[in-house]
Amino acid sequence: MTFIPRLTPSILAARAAARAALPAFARIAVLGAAWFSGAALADTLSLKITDQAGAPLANAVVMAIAPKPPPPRKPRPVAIEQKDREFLPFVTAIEVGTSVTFPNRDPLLHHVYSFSPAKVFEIKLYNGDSRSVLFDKPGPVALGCNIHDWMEAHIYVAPTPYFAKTDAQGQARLTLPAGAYTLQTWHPYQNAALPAAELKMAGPQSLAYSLAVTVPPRKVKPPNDPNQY
Amino acid sequence: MTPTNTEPPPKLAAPVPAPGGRPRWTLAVKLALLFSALLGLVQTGVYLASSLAISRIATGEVSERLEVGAKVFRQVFDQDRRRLQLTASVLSADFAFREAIATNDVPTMLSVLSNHGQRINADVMMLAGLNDIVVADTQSLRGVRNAGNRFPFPDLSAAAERDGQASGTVVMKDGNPYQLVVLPVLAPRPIARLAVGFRIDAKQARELKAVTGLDVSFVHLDGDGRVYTSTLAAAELPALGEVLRRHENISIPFQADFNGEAYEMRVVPLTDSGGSRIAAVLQSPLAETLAPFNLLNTTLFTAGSIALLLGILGSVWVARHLTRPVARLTLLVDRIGRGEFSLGERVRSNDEIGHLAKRFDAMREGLAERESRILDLTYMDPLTGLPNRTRLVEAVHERLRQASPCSILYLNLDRFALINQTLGHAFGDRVLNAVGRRIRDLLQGDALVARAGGDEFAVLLSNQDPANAEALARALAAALERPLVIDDHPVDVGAAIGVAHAPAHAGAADEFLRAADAAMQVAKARRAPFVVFEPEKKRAGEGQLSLLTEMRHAISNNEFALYYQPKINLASGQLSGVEALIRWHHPTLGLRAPDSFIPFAEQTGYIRQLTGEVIRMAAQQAAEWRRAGEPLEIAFNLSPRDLLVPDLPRRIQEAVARFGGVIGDLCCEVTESSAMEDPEIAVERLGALRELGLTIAIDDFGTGYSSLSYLQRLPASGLKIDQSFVRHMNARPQAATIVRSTIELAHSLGLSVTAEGVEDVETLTHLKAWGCDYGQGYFFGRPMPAADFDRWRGIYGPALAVVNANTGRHATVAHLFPVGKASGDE
Repeated sequence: MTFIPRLTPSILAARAAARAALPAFARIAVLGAAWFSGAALADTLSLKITDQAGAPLANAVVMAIAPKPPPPRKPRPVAIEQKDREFLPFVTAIEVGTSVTFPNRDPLLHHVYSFSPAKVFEIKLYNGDSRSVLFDKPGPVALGCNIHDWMEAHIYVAPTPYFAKTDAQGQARLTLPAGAYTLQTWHPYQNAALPAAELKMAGPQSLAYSLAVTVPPRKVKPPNDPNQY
Repeated sequence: MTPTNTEPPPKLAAPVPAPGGRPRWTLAVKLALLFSALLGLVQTGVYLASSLAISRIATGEVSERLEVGAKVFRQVFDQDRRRLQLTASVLSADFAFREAIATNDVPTMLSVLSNHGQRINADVMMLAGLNDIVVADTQSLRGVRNAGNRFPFPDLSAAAERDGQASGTVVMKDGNPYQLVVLPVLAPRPIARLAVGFRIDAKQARELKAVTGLDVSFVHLDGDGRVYTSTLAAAELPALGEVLRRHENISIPFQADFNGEAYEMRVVPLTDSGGSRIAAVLQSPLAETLAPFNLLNTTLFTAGSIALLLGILGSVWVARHLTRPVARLTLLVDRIGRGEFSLGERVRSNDEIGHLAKRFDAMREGLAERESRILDLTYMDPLTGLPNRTRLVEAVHERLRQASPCSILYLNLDRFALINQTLGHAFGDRVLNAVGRRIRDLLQGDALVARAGGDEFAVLLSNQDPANAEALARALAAALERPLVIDDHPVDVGAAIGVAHAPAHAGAADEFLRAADAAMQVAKARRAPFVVFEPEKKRAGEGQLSLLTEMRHAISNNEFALYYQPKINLASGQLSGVEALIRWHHPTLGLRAPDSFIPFAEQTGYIRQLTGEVIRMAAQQAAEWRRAGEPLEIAFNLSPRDLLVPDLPRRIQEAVARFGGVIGDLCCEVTESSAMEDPEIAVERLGALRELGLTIAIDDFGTGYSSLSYLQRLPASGLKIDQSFVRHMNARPQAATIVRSTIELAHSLGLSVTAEGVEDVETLTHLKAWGCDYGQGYFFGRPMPAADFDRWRGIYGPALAVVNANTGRHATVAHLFPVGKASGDE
């Protein structure tokens, strides 16, 4: 889920918010708010990320890190659902300090865990809403379900409020106030991290990157036919 | 055989050449060979076929055994791998284990590893970080320190990274090969690598051998072909390495010898997705697998050989048993072939051979019976049941050979031809039968009574003195004088009997018989009851015996020729015919007078051949003249004996046909006496000739005593007055009277008259005056060879015309041409 910063609202960010399944009226409200909250103050950075074969790469997280971090604040909580024995979404980018809940929408129990250094936690067999987990360190976090080996999700805890996730076309947009940034990318299956790039925002920009990934074999997900068990 | 036949006839059968010796390949040998060969063939075929089948089955069995072993081996090996995998995957999913890894809690990791390892008796439980540095390793508990080192299976590690898991066989530090499974530990992204494995050691090899039944060796395929462990004896291991190095394609089963034993071998590679080229070598000694098959083969061979031997013995026995009766039959047939019909050894069996033997027996009896019948027929006259001429001749031979005195009574019935003709042949046969009986009844003892042919019988008397024999002849004649009574029908036969004695009259059988025959002829001519052969006549005849031979030669050498004497029509002076007279140009004696051989020929019967020759030449000459356009009647003489030849008409007809002549050109002349000899026969035969178209004339008329009535019955168209009357006509008035009255008599009977012996004009004049039709004599021409006659004819014809034109005087004609000196006629 893309976080919509208060000072840098943009139409694209609003669209991304719309994907978060807000009601229609709320969407319009957000769009309106975005427009008036300072569209004139920021510039748009368009990114296009492809894999080593030139195909659009979705679920890549891009982030621009300002040399002088903005003042800390309380980011909005985020939810990663478990539905149909899958995590949704697969990749979530959050800002450091974000609380994430793992609501279980399945009629069965899940056991969410992470052994990633950025955040080690587990929520043992539960149903319905979960407790929220605070991600207070930046870095990748791989999520698994202890009873469903194939379930896999990733959270990237970004040390900046300026981040975005590529869509199915491999595109992402960042609305950045003018200034200098360090641009970083991350993908759960990346072979190696791209070197951080220095970026100076003075008007809209477009950048393209190629990121080599290796998609591991998916673990088999058994069909959810109660009669079979 | 008749009772009078006192001695058995000789064997008729010609000696059958004895069959050759025993054939080289007897039936028994052939049969035995054939059966044995067949049996041998079948046995060999069966043995070879089963041998082949056994060999195939054995080879198949060996491959099968190895194949099954290899499958079992793979299964067991795979089972181990699956156990390892299961353990590895359970372990890698263990939350506590993962937590320990995440928190880098090495003691916990080690304890979890050893705990899970113990469950399956794993020899290797090793955990490495994503950086391939070993974190924990249960082997370190046994003193092999790996922790901190690099993960020792980089290939498997990479494959596991790529494929989610990997397995293979690798050699570890301790020098042992290990079966390993490597898995990443996922949370859910890989956080570590886990290796689980079993050591491959002698114990495992032994277990695998127990399961597969094969020798199992684990070897390193590359490099030195090192053998890690094996169920083979240690001494064999270098040889195994050698075989593996030497053998090119070890990916398929192969056979190899080592340490003197043949093995079927199979190499099973054990490296799945990485690691060294380690393989298991499975092998089975061929001998072990093939042993039962070899035993089976040997048993088959032994059984087959025994069966073959028994078969050969059996076939020899059967062949001998079968052919023994055949050999006996052969002996029997040999004996039959030699004419021995007595019952020999019987062949008794109930099979086809026995039947054949019975048939042979029947055949032998039939043959014996038929031979005796043939013998009977050969030596017996079927009509009278008396011995026939053949038997007679043989008996005579036999007597003469033994030089025992004997006599022959040769008997000819009078007037038998008349009986045959008037009363029929069946009656005639009964007469012959009755005569035979009567002769036989009269004679007892060892006299042989035979029918010599036709109406002739012969009696051979042994050891009789001549007087006795002649008495018997008289008695016989007297007996035959008495009329026979057949069907209440008295029949007068009567017979002429000639008697000859041996050795007085002859030394050879045919001579003896001829003597008796000649004496019979004399008796017949003299009308005596019997005549004994006169030795003087025989001596005279002795010179004539050579004459007979010469005459035979004369015919084949064409020494006989016909001379032709013209016969003139006295009224016209024209040539009306010729009389053909036989002449003999003897190669040494020159021209022989007919008197010197004709009587002899008549006596011996050779006259028949001679007449035949005359007929042939006359027919030829007549045909020639007819072809030349000057046909002329040729008259030839028949002797009384000729009249007895039944087929005379046929012979004449054949001779004429042969030369393409006309039968009317021939005329036959028969002397009055010969016509009188057997008047009935003469009437019959001459009638037949007349019917044929021949002209018949009575020759030498006046010398016999024929009655006019008989003369009338003869189918003659003319008669010839004997020259003895004509020649003396001028000197003796009596003769002239006879000639004149004969002419008148003949004319009154409707016969033409020819005067023979016309030698002068005076005679001719008288004859003409008396109305004699034809004249023949030196006055016109002597008998001449055909060429001379043709010349004479060429002169006579034209001359006659000239004379006739002038006067009518024949005297002139007669002297117109020279008359060849001839020796006279008849």
